[in-house]
Amino acid sequence: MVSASERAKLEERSARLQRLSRKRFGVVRVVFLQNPMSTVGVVLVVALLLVAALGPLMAPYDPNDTNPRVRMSPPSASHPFGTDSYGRDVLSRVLAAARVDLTIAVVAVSISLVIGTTIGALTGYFGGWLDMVVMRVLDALQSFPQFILAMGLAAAMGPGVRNLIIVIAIVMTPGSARIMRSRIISLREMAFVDAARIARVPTWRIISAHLVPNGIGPVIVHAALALSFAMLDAAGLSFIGLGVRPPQAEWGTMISDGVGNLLAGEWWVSVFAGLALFISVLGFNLFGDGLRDILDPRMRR
Amino acid sequence: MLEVTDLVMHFRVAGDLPFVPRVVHAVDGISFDVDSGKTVGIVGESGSGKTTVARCVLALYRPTQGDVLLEGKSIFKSRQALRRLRRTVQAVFQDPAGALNPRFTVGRTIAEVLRFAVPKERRERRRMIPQLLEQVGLHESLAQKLPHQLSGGQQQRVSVARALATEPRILVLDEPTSALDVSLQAQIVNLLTDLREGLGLGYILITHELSIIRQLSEWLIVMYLGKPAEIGPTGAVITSPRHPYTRALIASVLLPDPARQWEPPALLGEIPSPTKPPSGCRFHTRCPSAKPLCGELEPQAQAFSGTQVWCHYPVDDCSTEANSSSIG
Amino acid sequence: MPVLKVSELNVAFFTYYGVVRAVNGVSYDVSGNETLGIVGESGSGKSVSALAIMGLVEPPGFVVDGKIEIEGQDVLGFTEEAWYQTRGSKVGMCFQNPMRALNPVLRIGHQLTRVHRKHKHSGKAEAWRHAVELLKAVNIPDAEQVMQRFPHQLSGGMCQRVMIVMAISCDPALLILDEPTTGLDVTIQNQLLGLVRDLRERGGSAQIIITHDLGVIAKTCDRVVVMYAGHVMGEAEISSLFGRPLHPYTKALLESIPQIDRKMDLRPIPGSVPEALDLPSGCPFHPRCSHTMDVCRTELPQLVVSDDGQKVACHLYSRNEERGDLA
Repeated sequence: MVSASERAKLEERSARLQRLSRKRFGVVRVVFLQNPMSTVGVVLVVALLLVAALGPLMAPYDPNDTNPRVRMSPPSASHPFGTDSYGRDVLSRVLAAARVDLTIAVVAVSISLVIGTTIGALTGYFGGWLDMVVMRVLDALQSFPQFILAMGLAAAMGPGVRNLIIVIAIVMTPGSARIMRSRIISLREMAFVDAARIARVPTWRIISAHLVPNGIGPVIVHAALALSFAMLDAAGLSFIGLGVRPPQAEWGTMISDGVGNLLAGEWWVSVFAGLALFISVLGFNLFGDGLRDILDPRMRR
Repeated sequence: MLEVTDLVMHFRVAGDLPFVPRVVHAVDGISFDVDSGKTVGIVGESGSGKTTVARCVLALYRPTQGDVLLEGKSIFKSRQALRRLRRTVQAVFQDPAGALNPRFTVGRTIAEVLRFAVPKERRERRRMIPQLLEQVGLHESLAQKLPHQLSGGQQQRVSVARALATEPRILVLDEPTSALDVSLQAQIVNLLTDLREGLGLGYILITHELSIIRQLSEWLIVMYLGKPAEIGPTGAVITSPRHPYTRALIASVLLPDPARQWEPPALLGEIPSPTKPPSGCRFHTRCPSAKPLCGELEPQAQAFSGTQVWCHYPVDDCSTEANSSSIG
Repeated sequence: MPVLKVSELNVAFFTYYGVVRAVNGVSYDVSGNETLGIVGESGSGKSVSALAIMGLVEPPGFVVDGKIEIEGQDVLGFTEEAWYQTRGSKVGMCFQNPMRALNPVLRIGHQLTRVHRKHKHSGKAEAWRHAVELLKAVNIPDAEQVMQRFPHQLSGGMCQRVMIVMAISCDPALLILDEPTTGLDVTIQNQLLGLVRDLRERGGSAQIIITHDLGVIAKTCDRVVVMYAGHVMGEAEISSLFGRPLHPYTKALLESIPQIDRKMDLRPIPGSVPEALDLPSGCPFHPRCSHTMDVCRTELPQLVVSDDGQKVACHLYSRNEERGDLA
């Protein structure tokens, strides 16, 4: 039982939220208000996108410009993040790497999203032997720990940005495929699908216009979170040398370059790259959580 | 116009053991026909097969045996026959919200039917949508709305409007009122009655509510576990039921009339599963007047002045049993 | 003393989309050996009031006003601990959708014995025997076997009976049944109602049956409360409600229900149930009422007592009462 003053407070809060939710994208704003962490996530992601887009323009030096005279110098006025063992400016490299890592993550996840959704939709709708065969293939892929699988594929395909994207896309596909498949399986029994069938709507259209749009919610959320994992995979593979080719600036390679120097107390190469990676992954994670909350129909609070 | 002949539908379903499927005997032999202006009501409880019959008539399933004929031609025979079916026979489903794509506006839902089933040009479609909405008593501005913005009654009306888009001659109504509030059910029933008179439609009305059947249909089919129990004119079947199941069903109807004496439940026991239908007459396990023959032999149809009964010992008019449980 | 007394209950849900006033100024009571029916359509607040009785209203819903007394005790101030003691032993509730209300991963036996063991502190064997006895008493065949099964292996009717057993296992003074027959086949519904009636006759407990089906009410209840949009529209003895309905809503409802024994011109109630977020001013039924007067739009009618003992909340009657007679 609530007291009169509590009741007044509740009513006022409810009225405020109601007014807010009636404005454009009100629901979105309300969710993010309720959930400050996801707002942080959005901010981080936007910051990352800006850096990726403008990075090379903002960088004070060319990321590949070597300057042996200032090798391994700590953070200073002229080099805010210090220099690495080749005399390259760490700040510029970190900014340039943002573009690389982000591109890899986004492209790979997008590819896996498209392919995974298609596979999931087709197997979910048609079932039968197609479903069985494809699911077993996905089972095989998913039975390996994700990174180990990525390592194996990367080793087989060789280094380079393009191969890295392909590897990560393959590794992330089963996730979206499964989610879409389970959504399709529950949606295909719904009455509006029957209604579409008796209206002679062709099968491909039933799948694309009726089933996929209604089932895609959780897949999108998964993809948002997958971005963070994709980024980690990219950095991880580069760290062990199976990813990006040097001298390409990339956070993973930078961390690995600087690891040897850590014991000598020269922390700035690894740490700044690592921080950048951490912030980006965190940003995507929080963003994904926020997205999930928006799409979650049970937003009653 | 539409004839269902000896329809049988069996499904293979995963059983308890892997690789050992079970057979669901959903429908095991039913025949009836529907014409413009005529309404056939199919009544039954869960497992009766009534929904399966509807789906076979709509060619959503392909029957294991038997046939559905539209103007003498089987609907399963050719693409053309199917096309004719889709234009002539449409459906309204049970769950008003589930029958509409939550991402499509009302207008788009109807437009889709017009585009694929009929098909009509865009301009034609734009013209027809407000007309169809008006026909079911909805304002044309509703075309821009999404299903969740409408009430249950409005959603159901949209389903009806969609069904009318192909200018069908027969509508299959699968529990059209069951998911609606009581005060809205009468609205839909009245709408359906008006439409039938105005457009000369035939209805196949599938429901578990006898009272709705009484209002809407002249012909009644009572089904139990996939087989017909009794078929005849609605009034006759309800006032003088001859099959023990029909009698029990009618006695079970709860009337909003407290003056009626308390009667013990008409029927005991659970409905058997369609995967293991009882031998002989499927109703014998729960039948109050079951005799040994009932468990051994399946009853054939017996005719009584317009009504057909599938029972070895149907109740006759003259017996005292008839007088005690009949209504009205 | 009535087993349950609800006075001026107000329950509201404070959501993003506004305040949902689910229950507004609702009062009713039930005594032992009596069955009260609460009838209403969706959005009438009938289920929420029952949840409030059980202390199950969760944020963003809150009980904002009123009193609920179970056997004389005010339960609205109860701590979780106090509720724990009360639920199951003083009040039992059967929820809608029996298949979903039972825990799908626990066997029936486990679920049934838990309640008894907790409240009566009985041993495993004793609780088991008690549960089996009750299952037999509710006509479940093969009771011992059923104890070993999971809810999804039982039919809807059997799940409902299992829930009833769970609710009565500690012999509560009050049993609440929320939509006990919805979703069940007609012949099974009948069996269930017979069972509910037997239970009352044997145990003498108070019962509340919440439903939208007037047929169920007619068959099982002694008194009825009619709810609409969170308000009580009327309260009456069964015979009075059906024989001489006073409130326009009740009258219209009775006239719009198709009957099985004759074909009739159905007179549906125009319009639809209002959104709980946007209740009309004054009397909630006024937009759909055929006897609306000016006062109906602005003032909420209070419950008045009619000459045959019925209570009705409608300006048609309160106005006349001011003048000294009743329409």
